[in-house]
Order: sequence, then structure tokens, then C-alpha cells
Amino acid sequence: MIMRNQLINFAIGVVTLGAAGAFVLILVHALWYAPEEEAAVVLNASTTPGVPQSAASSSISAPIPHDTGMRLRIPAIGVDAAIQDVGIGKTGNMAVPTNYTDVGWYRYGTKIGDAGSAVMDGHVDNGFALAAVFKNLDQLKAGDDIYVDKQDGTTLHFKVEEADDYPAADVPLQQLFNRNDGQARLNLITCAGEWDSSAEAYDHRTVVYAVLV
Amino acid sequence: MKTLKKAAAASLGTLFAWMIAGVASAQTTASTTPGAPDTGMGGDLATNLILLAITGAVAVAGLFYLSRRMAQS
Repeated sequence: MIMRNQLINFAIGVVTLGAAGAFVLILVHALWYAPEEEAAVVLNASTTPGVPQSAASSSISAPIPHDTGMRLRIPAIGVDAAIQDVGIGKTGNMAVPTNYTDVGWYRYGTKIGDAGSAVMDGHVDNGFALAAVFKNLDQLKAGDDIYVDKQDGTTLHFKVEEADDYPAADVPLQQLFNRNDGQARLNLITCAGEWDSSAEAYDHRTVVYAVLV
Repeated sequence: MKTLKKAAAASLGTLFAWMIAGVASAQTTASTTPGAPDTGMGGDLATNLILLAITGAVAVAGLFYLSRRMAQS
């Protein structure tokens, strides 16, 4: 009888610990830390990093090293965020930062400040629907300032050209990632619209196009 | 004998195809242009709240039960 009670207590202890652990994990994931597993990519060694490639290419360039400790500032919407490197998620989409306060720079694309289109993404909200770094990205308008502070003390100054809203399936990916008209561009993207429970994602995307001045 | 050879060839072919498929699936190729990122989690609000309520209730009930058992013994 004593043995049976001990077993029951042990089992309840295990379940209690498991539930407490799950509680903490869900809380942390929803509020602070939501890493996305990235896909392994096949690198095209012959490709010069930083040069946008044609859509026909079947592999991608090596990741471009960038200064660590860079920050993105957008005074008009109160953004001052650390910049993480991100690659490609398991779904084939651009990966996202590991938390809700940083932004992610696409490391297989254009280096920030180089000719071409550097792309950054950031969350619009967290797992409790509370505002994340790009909550107000859709409020940016042509002429607003965007700054990238580099660790060497220099700052890149971009100005918004336009801000657009697209259905998630109709985002102009070539324009977003590969446009190279000789100007140094910075494109910002986040989610918008309504939650699509079947896709477990929002059904629109806000994209802000900016150019170095 | 012919049937046996055909069966062996088919088996080898299947094995070869399986190996190729295995190698192909081991690598993840990515096109130059990725898809648009999924940068929102707000739709998980209800699920997160339900999971938190369930796990929290189980943890509290378990702690309550165990603390009572310890007090009794």
C-alpha cells in the first residue's frame, strides 16, 4: 500500500513538473523567444556574395558577413532595434528574428548600404497579440527617415520611397529581394491583415521600400 | 531465370531510385528568392491562453496535492 502511494505521488510529481515546464515554455515562446529553425542551404561557391542573382539560379550565394551590433532606427514609429542575421526557414520563406524586439536582415541577399535590395523583417505582434517591433510599420510614408547605425560609429540614412500592402501570396518577391537599379535600397517587411487560421499566419504583408540618401 | 533477372533489375532500380531520393532529400536547396516571412504570432493568442490555463491548472493542482500529502506524512 505504501509502495503504491509512493508510485502515485511520484507520477503526480512528474506530471506537475511537466505541466510547470510546459507553462514556462509556452509563456517564454509567446512573449520573448521564438526561434525559427532554418533550412540548410546549398551554397553556390562561384557566385560573388552580394550580387543579386537571377531567379533561374538553383542555388544561392554564400552568406554575407556583416558588422555585428548594428541597429535599425525609425524615429517616426519609435523603432530602435538590434539587427540579427536571418536565412531561410524550413518552409522556404525568409526566416524571422528569434525574438519580437529585434529585426532580421536577410544574409543571403544584399549587404546593407550596397547597391541592390537589402531586406529586413520583424514581427508585428507576439503570441499574446501584443505589439512587436514592426507593429506600426504600416504608418510609414514617403519621406520618413530610416537609419542603420553601424558599430564603427557611422550611420546609413535611408528615406522611405513608398509603403505597400499586399496579399501574402502576391508579395512581389523579385522586387523585394532582387531589384538592383544601382541604388542602395533597404526594404522592410512585416505581417498585416487578418489571421488565417488554416495557414497559421496573417493574410497580408506590409512592405516599406527605402533608398539610401 | 529471366523472371529472376527482371526481378533483380527491378529491385536494383528501386534501390537506386531510393538512394537518389535519399540524397536529394538530405539536401535542402533554396531558390535565390525566399518566400515572404511569417512575422506575426497574434493569431495564436487563444491557443496560448488555453494551453497556459491547462498547464497552469495542472501544475497548481499537482503542487497542492503533493504539499498536502507531505503535510500528512
